[in-house]
Formats: sequence, structure tokens, C-alpha cells
Amino acid sequence: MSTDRETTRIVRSWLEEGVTALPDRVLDTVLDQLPTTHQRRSWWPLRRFVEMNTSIRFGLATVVVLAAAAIGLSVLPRLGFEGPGVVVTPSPSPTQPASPFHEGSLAPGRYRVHPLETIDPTLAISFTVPEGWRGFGNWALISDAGTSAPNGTGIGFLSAAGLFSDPCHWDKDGDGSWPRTGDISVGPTAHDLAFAIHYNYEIIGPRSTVGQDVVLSGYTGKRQDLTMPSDIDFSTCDKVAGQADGSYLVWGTSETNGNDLYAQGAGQRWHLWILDVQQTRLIVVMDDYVETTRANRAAAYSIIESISIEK
Amino acid sequence: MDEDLVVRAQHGDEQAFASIALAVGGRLHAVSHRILRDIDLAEDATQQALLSIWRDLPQLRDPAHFDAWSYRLLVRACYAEGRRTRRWAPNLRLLPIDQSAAEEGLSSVVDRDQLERGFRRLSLEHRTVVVLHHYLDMPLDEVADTLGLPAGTVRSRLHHAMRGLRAALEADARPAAREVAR
Repeated sequence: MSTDRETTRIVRSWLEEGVTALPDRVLDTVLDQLPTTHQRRSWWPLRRFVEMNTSIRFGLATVVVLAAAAIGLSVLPRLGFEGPGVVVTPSPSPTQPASPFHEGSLAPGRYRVHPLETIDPTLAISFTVPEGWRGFGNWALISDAGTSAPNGTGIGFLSAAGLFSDPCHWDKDGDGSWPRTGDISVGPTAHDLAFAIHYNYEIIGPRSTVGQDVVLSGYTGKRQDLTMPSDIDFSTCDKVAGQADGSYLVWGTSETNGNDLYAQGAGQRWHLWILDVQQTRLIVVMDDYVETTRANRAAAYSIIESISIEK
Repeated sequence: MDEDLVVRAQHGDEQAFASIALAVGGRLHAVSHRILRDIDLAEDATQQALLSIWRDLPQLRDPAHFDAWSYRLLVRACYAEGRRTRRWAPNLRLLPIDQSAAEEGLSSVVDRDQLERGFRRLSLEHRTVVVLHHYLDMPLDEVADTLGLPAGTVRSRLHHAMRGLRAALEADARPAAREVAR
């Protein structure tokens, strides 16, 4: 009869036996694949919401909402918002030749990107970028204020594969893997996604508007807005493996570049254009916060207005 | 792991990642081999883990946690490889024996064979806890953190696994004793 201590000793000794070197061919295979293996980067780095005095927050909100009402409504009608039109920041002509999109600082001008590299590599989006914006991965644009709370704004070209029934507790199998598809299956059309978002997030999840018909670059779809709860505590949410903070995932993706939708801060707002581009669903999202500057918000809308989708 | 290398690799420096892969590849492979007990599966799992590390490195918030994080990705690759193929069950191949280790640690070839069989009977999750704790000398709370499990679950898995391995050794000891008595 062996004792526990003896069993441990034997097992430890046995585990010491065996290979300890990785064959060169395995290492070579890995290194050969690096240039074609895209690194996944969070363009929505999660940060805790900066707590403010309630009166200051209310004051800021009031000022910014009034400013937004004065400025933003100029662009909104054409993009699917309601309201009277006024003038927007002029942008370079959409007819000028588009340069390949790249990461980092972007000189003002027109760029072209293929964001759905797995789902539909033939889908191309061209748009005009004003001063102060930078590219991220092959699917996002970030303002000079970043994309995070309290005042960031950015634009992403996303795919969606299922919703998360509970965006804060999405890690059903407990392994923290990301990106992943959501646990609620959603049909392939813009209508399917807009309906599922509104239906599923009636009780839990971000507050959502009903999807309204919209046309962007000649493609039909749904305009919808989502707003994060203002009192969300991200520390209670499931964590992506290797990350210290919890993550709040709205929908998943089957794209390898991780272009899904997740939250960066309490009160974050997502303005969605969910489009049917022939057989492919493309989601254009602009995110902002109550404190996003008037100039950055107007610049973001000018980019969206300049979008041309080709397939 | 050199944090500067990790940061450079996080920003897409392939040369820095090559240095990292060279430094950790052997250790990761040793762990995957001990969990999966199959050289081919272990090579596939290690390869997948290294590519996952490269792909997800920008997500790692604190470069100081690289080692624990890389083990987590490796374990995930082992689970995926082990579940994707069932080859390890029929493909029973004993590991090469290091003579000095055998002389110092294991009392007989029978022990080794029984341990191999007993270990293969354990689930991948149970094997993983045994390997991380008894091969890497990882404290149980660190194992729990690496696997993203409650500490109690890890303790329970280790207890269950070691009980199974002890039973495997004792099952072998009985017929062996009878052989000697004859």
C-alpha cells in the first residue's frame, strides 16, 4: 500500500521523464506564419468610468447635449437621425482616389479598407478622413481623444455572429477565450440583428432603440442606437483571459481580427448602421459619450457621410 | 520572461516574438506533452499555443504576467487538440525513459506503465492540474488563477487525480506481489 507522499514522489519522478525540447520544425512553422497571422488588438480598451460630482456631470451633460443638438443635427437626417439640417465640416471629395488604409496616424484624405477579411474579403469601404484621426487594425478609426470614456469617439466596421444573452456574464464555458460568437443565434440580415438586439436587451444589456430603415452608400439596413448603463461595474463582469478588468460583450464575431462590439465605459453610446451589402451584413458603428467634443462628433459624422461601399 | 521583449512583440515585432518563442517553446512543449501524452498532439497544441500567444499578445495588460497567461493559452490549446482528435486513446506510446530518472525515482517499469495507464484514464482537466502542480511546481492558488477556476475546484481535481493514480499503482502492486510469491 503506497502512502500519499509516496504516490506524489513517484508521480513527480515520472513526470520528469520525457521531452523538454521543441522540435525546430515546429518553431519554424510558427515563425513562418507570423506575417500572415494578424494580432488582435482592443480598439476599445476598457476603462473604469471616471466618477464625477453629480452636479458637474449634469451640467456637462446639459451643455454638451445642447451643443450636440446645434451641431450634430446637420448630418443626422441623411444618416438616419431625425431633425432639421444645418451645415457640417467640409470634407475632401469622395471622388478622389483612395489610398490603402493603414494603422497609426492618417494624413487627411480618402482611404480604402477591407474589414471583413474572413467573412467577405471582397467587400471594400472607402471614406474620407479629416485631420487628427488614426487607423486601427483593418477595421477602425480612432479620434485624437481615443475611443474610451469619458470623451472618446471612433468608427468601426464590424461583423456580428450572435448576441450575448448577458453581456456582463458572457463566459459560459469559463475559459475566457475571445473573440467568440454570442450564445444567442441571430439570422443573417440587418433586420435580424436589429430585431434581436432590441428584443434581447429589453431587460438586461444596453438600452436600445427600435431599428429604423436607413440607406448608406446605396445599401439598405437599420439605424439603431445602444446606450450602456451609467452605473455598470465592470469589475463584476467576466474577464477575457489575461486581462485584469472585466469585459462587457454585446455581440460576438467569427472574424479573426476581433471586430465585435464591447463596452469601454459606462454611458457609452453606439450609433449603428446595420447594412445588407448583398449577402453580407456589415455594421458601421460610431461610438461617443455625453462628453465627446462637438468637433470630434461632427468629424465622426462627416466620415460616415463620406462612406462608399463597394462589392 | 524579458518584459521588454514582450512589449516589443505586443507591438508586432516578429524578431522579439521569435526570441520569446525560442525561450518558452521547450517549456510549453514539455507541459503539453505531459498533459496529452502524445508527441504529435503535443506538437500541434504547442504550435497552436504559440500562434495564439502571438495573436493575442496585444490583449495582455501586464507583461509581468506573461508566463501564467501563456500557460493558460497552452492549456486551452491542449484541450482543443485533445477534444478535436481522439488519437491518444489507441495511440498508446510510452515516453522515452531517462535512465537516471528511472533509477532515482520510479521503482520499476511496471510502475511507469501503470502510471501511464492511470494518467490516460484521467480527464484532460485532471491531468492539467497534476502537471501544473507537480511538474511545474505551481502553487495551487496559481494553478487556479492560470486556469480561471476557483481554488476549491483545483484542489478537488488534484485530490481526485492523485487518488486515481495511487489506485493505479496499487492495482499493479497486487498481481505483481502474487507473481513474486509463486
